Amino acid sequence: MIPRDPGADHLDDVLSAYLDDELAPAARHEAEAHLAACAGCRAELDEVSAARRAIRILPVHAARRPLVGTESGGLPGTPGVPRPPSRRRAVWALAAAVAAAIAFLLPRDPEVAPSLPSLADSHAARASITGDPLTQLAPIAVPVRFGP
Amino acid sequence: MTGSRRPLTGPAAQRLAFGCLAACSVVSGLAPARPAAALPGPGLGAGPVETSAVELLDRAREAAETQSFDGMVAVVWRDGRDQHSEQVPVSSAGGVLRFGDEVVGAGARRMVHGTDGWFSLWGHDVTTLGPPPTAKYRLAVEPGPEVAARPTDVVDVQLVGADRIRERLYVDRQSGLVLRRELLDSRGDPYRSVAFTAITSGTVGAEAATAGAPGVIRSQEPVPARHLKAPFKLRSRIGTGYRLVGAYKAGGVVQQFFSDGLHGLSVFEQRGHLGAAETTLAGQSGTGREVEISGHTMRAYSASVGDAVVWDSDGMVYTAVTDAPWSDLAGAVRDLPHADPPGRLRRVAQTVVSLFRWR
Repeated sequence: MIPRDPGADHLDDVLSAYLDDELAPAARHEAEAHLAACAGCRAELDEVSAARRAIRILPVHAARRPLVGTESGGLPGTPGVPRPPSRRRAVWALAAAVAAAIAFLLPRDPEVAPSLPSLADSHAARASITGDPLTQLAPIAVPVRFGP
Repeated sequence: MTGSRRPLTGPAAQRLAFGCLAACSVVSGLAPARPAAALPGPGLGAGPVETSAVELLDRAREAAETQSFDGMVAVVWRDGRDQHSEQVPVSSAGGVLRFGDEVVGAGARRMVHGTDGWFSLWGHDVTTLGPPPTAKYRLAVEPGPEVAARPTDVVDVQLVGADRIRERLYVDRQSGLVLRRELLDSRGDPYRSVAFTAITSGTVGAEAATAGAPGVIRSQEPVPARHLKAPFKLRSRIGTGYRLVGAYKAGGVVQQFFSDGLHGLSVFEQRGHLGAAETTLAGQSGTGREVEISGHTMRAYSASVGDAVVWDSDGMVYTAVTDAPWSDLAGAVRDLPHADPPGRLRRVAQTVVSLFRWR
């Protein structure tokens, strides 16, 4: 790094404007005159130019999702801005785990084994009230067997 | 015939009135397609009385409750290729109908003998009758064969519009009792029947005449349910021609009883799901058979009382029992819920959804 004269006015921030060709003609002539006389500013100009070239040759990748500038136009951490993916994924995983735990801990419907002989008796008793009592009741007087 | 008729009071008289009303309506406009036979009515004095099949069946019901007789009844049923047959002595005296030492009917009371004594299955009369049988069936009366050495008239039962007789009831010309009732398969062969093999009218054994109704030690009578809370739901009609005539509750089980005028069909519902151990469904006596109704596999059982189907759906266990032919039962089951049982993943999903559901 080339030392610059601390007492002189150097270009500093003007360098970027100079590189971007944003200086007025008079200011540009003044800057060029300074660069011709100041080795330190010339060295700094070379460094800034090299850095810009290095950035320009980097490959361009599309962002997966906008980090800023959402529909609400807010900034990260403000309402309307999605949280970082990893955190959201963790929240969903936790919710699913809680739901699954609740589902398994909730009491299931009781296991039922209908007593067919008893239900058949109830049916025959009811049917015999409005039907023929003889033919409705006789079948339940024999051993009620379902199946072979 | 020397039948001792008990006086009809209250609901019994009302039922008889309903029966007469139904019979009159049948006689006036819904008479069977074939001309009714001229039959001597029991206890109606001399001279033939023009009657109909509906009157005949109504009178048979009353005769079973009021006539005095002793006899033996054979109950025969088919279960797949197996045929079963059981005999049971039957007697009636003083309005008490007794089947061996197992079952008693006295008026509107129905009692069954269990392991620890008699318990009551039913204890009240009903006012809602089923639809007239002629809404679904074509009934025809013709002279029948002798049953238990007694002349009969036979009521042939066909579905309206069908050409096959699917049931026959043989009615005693003398007492008016149904002496034989048989369900017929597509070939006309009986696959379930209840029939007297011997009967003596008017005289009963001294024991039967004086026994009366037994003392009941406990009640299993269901209570009428006019309204049901979810998930239970009253259904006014089911299957082919079955109308709801009563709903009852007992011990967490809801029974909806349907009638087509000739047969009864009960749908029992209880919360829960069927256990994996199917053998427990039928106690010690079998596991039934798998049937497919509306694309869903269910278990079916055949017994002396009729057929039954058991399945579960959406947290409810259904048991449908009927004394009607199998096709009626299958038709009724199609009208009932029969979703596939939810898997574990579906249960989890249902639970998650229910957590976020407002109501």
